Amino acid sequence: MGSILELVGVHSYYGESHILQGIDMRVGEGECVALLGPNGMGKTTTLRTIMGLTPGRRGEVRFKDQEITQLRPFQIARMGIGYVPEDRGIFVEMTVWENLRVPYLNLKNRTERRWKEIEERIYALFPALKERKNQMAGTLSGGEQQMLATARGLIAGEEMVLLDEPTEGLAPVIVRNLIEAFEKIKAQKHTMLLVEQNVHTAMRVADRCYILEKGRIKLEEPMKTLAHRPDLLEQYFGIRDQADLT
Amino acid sequence: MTFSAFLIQFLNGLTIASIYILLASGLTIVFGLQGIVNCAHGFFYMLGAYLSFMMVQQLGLSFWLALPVAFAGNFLLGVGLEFLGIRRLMQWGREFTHNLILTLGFAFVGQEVVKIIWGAIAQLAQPPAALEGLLNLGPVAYPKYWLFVMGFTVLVMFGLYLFFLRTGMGILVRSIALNSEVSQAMGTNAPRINTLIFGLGTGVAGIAGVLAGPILSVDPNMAFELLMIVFVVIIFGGMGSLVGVLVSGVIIGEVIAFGTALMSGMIAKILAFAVMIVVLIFRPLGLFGRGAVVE
Repeated sequence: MGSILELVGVHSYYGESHILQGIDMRVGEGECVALLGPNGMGKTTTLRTIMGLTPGRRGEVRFKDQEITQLRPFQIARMGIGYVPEDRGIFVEMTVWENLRVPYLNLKNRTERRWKEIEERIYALFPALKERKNQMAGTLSGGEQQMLATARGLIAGEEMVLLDEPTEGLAPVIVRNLIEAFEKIKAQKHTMLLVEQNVHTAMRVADRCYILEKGRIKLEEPMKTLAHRPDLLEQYFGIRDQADLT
Repeated sequence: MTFSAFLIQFLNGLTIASIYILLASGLTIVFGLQGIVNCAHGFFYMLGAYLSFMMVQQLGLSFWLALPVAFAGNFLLGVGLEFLGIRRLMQWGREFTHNLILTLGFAFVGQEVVKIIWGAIAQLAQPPAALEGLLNLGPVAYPKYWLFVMGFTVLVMFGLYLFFLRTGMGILVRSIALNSEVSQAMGTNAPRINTLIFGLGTGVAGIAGVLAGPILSVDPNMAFELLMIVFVVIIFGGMGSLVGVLVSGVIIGEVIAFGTALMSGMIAKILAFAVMIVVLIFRPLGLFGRGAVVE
């Protein structure tokens, strides 16, 4: 499987604080990779660096064999990378439909037919959005806002989508719905890079994971083997009992 | 005050409100989008008036040609100022104060250039021949041209409404105003759209200048006094809000018209400020302000 996204020795800063201290990672085409680890270790910054929102100061970010480290966010997005930010970044005073139009309006080849296809695909994945199409996005529940943010990310991210803690702060029943949607997205061979604090979610959808600690990759592991490494689970996620994972 | 005198003052209020609204809309849109105050906005207004004066009075061309030319000329100049100046300052992280100084400096230089070209004395612009004279409205007769200014303002505002709410570009503009970073992460070329919208604002200021010429005088200082009231309109309506500008523009226009008629121009202006202050005590963000842009 060829890599679609590759980070080589990437360093990023917020002002003077050195957040990413040489990240090396890759995501294969059609693969779902999870970026795990405790909070404040640089997971969000990694996604922001890929998107060009916090541009890397050293190292290289490559997408489809093209260096994108210094490109601006809108140029990176237009290469087909979708971004679902941690706070969801919903345009609250716009309708659900208008929110979905924003990434669509920035696509290169726009036709009415293509929009219909996109709408159908999105509404099949998240039926709630179809019902709330003309509702102000700010009036949606947290789970619906997450669906909307994910949908926008999928429209912009025709090649791959970056998801930042999509299940954070949501009720378990909603998390279950979202995970089902992620499984469908994965089944459609959509490449995903998923930042998670919750290993359970990652276990359900990811093929492989990186564990990030203090701005460096500590470990790369297929999801399947991680489940059988109680030492790692306890060290990084504080999970003592294997039963917690199911 | 008789009913007809009341009606005349009411219409006067709407006429001046039209100019306020046109001027304030460009300023408030740019503020809502980029969080900057364009201090050169008054200069663009004055330039519109002078371009029209030159074309109509000096070159004998049609007023109907002056309107689109003033819009286009001001649009291009605004785009140039944004692209060469404001955008650079934004990229260097110099957002608010530096842009105040840049646009203020631009306005001062522009004003001197206008004085060199057209002289420092006030000029009088004429309304187009078709709109001269009064129109009988029943209880009162009112200048046709002034009624036209109101109607044209309604048209411009309706156009802006359609643009922002019904077009794809309008959706992108609103998404930038609501969350610029996320919009860009979805592929929106925000710098380019900001430049175009800045030009739209200065273009509309140019239209305001053309329309105001035959009502107020055309002189190099024509913007300064007016702009004080326009800022009142914007703050009162809530910065960044077009609906706010519409509502507060009419209210302030009426306060100025009746204040001037019943007391004096000076007292009318003080009243306008008083109304704004009272509203701000109860609604610190203005009538329709949400403070989404100002953190």
